[in-house]
Amino acid sequence: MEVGTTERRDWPWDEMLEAFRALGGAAKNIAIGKGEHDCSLFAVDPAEPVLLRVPANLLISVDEIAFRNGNIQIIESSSVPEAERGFFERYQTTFSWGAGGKSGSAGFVAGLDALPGDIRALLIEEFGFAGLLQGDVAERVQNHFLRSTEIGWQKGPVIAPLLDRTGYDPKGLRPERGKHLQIQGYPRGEISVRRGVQDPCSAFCLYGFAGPEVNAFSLSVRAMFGDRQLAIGRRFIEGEKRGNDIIPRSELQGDALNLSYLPLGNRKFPRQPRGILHRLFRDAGLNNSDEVFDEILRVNALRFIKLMKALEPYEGAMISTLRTVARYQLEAMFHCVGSREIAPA
Amino acid sequence: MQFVEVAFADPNLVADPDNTTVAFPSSFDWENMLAEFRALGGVADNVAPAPDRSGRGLFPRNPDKPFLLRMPDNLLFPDNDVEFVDQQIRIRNDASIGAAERAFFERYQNAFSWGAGGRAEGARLVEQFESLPAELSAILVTDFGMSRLIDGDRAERISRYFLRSRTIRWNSENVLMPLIDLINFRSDGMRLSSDPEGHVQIEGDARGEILVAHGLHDSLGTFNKFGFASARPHAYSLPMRTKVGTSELAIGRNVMANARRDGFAIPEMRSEGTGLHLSYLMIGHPRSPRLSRGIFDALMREANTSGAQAAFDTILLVNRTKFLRLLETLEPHDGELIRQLRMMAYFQLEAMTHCVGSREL
Repeated sequence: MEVGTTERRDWPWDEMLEAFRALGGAAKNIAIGKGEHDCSLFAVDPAEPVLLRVPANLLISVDEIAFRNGNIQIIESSSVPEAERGFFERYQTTFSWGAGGKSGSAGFVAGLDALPGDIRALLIEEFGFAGLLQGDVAERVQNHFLRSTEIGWQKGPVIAPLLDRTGYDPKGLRPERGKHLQIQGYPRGEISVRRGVQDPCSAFCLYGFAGPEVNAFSLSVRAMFGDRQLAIGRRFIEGEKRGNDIIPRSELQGDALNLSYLPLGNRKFPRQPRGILHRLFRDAGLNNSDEVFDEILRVNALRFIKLMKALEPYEGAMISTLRTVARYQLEAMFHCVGSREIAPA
Repeated sequence: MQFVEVAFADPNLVADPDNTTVAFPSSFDWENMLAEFRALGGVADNVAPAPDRSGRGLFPRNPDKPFLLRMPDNLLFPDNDVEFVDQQIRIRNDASIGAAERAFFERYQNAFSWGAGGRAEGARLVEQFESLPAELSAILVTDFGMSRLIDGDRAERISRYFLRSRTIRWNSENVLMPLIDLINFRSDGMRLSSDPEGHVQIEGDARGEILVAHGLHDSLGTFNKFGFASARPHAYSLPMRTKVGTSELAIGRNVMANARRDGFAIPEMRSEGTGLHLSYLMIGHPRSPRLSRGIFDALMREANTSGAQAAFDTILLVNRTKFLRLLETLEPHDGELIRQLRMMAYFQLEAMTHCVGSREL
């Protein structure tokens, strides 16, 4: 960690902060340094709390961002005012996309591209890695950068200047969403933020490392049970509240039950995942949810074990990381013990 | 009759009669051994040795014809009657085994089994275990019952491994079966049977190497017995204690202690103090994915305990977690034994996934 790096930039950190504040932002006790990113955020005085507030006018929808000639820009048709547009693009070039953001994503994509062909094929076919492994390299790098820095806001994901330089940590500072998007508190070292619920597999795709997440969600699968079809996605933000629980959004279309996602294991609440499928099935007038849950668990576990076996002949940092991701995913997935009631709609 | 000490039983390599220290057998040696085997009541039709990676292996002499190996009871040597003295294998003096059989056993072992790669194989494996990091060895002893390969006198570990990997359970005894102990194991190998008089035999057509099935072992059991990873369809729980409702439940790994019900093998259950004891517990089988939980549910119903579903889930969680912990501990290391252990863990986890729903027994 190098806090308060003296690296020369076209736009000094303090001047950028002034411009940020002039546009309604607040940044207290925050310094730049080298951490997870080339430009990461740290507390100037770790004994004091930090505050970072990004005003709504600086939250730029991902849909309004484009890359031209290797630079990140806000699309011309966007209604973002000139001052904010100018700030955002200069900030991105100096402190984010142009300051390690691009090279970080490019390194991750290159690491995946360098995997043996059989591993790449397996990741595409059974783990939904097509977006990271197929298509134009520059586009994949740009998409990865956006996906890994975006954060949920009212109408969809946005890029929040400064906040996009915080690290990912499920135990990090919690984003507060009101009139503004802000974080505050006492970080332990580098400032990290909770960026929505992930499982080890999705966290790897976004942030490139293996972490022992609390949850494991099913891979995208389609399965027949009896004469009905079950389609499970991996859209974790599409949930609804039932009592104290968040459950996937479900939709019964003819004979098909579509779920936005499906929890398989939870280290903290191991009775919850099976209980959720029981509830979804009961609500849809379906039965045999116990066996369907077991079958989905089996399909998922077998895929991750297959990946671990396929990785076995190879060596290297990315191979070892993928093996660890698979192990963490299985660990979280296997935390499903018994069942409990989930509140009805 | 004189036998020369051999390294590999290769009929294509002929001993030099002027060199008594030659380490290769001649077909004469093999034929002489077979003659003595037959004289003691054994049947060996169309079988020949051949070298393979482990120094074991038995082939049909003519692959177009069936082979037959049949053992008389006097050539089944219980492991309790066997001892190792000065790195030589022999029958204990107090064993009630005839002199001719005793002499045959010792000559056979020295020429074709223990002395012909069996000891070296055990020494190699024990050496690999000795080179493991302490943290890993501790887990293998504590969680996976591998103390016999890790703890204690080196020579004893080698001889114990040899006996374990060569003995076959027959009529409630672990016995060494000359010739049959040369046959390599594979999941889809042939099964031992008995002739009308009850003699153990193996027979059939084999285009290539004659192979025998592993028996009841799961991947962990196979590893503990033979020292290599082999994909087995089913998995048994590690020995453990847990709760079912308010009762204590202890689970063992004695798969021989079973009973039959509805055509399936189920563990023996007995009361143990205030709790229950299961001789073993199957926790996954791809051909009968409902069976594992079905057996457990049925036994817990008979024991009048509630909470079987959560208890079974807990047993699965404990087992899966231990194998994942093993993989975590193995991750920074490399080497042949490390790879074998990793594969064994994958196979065991894979078998454990085949536990879907439940069925009535």
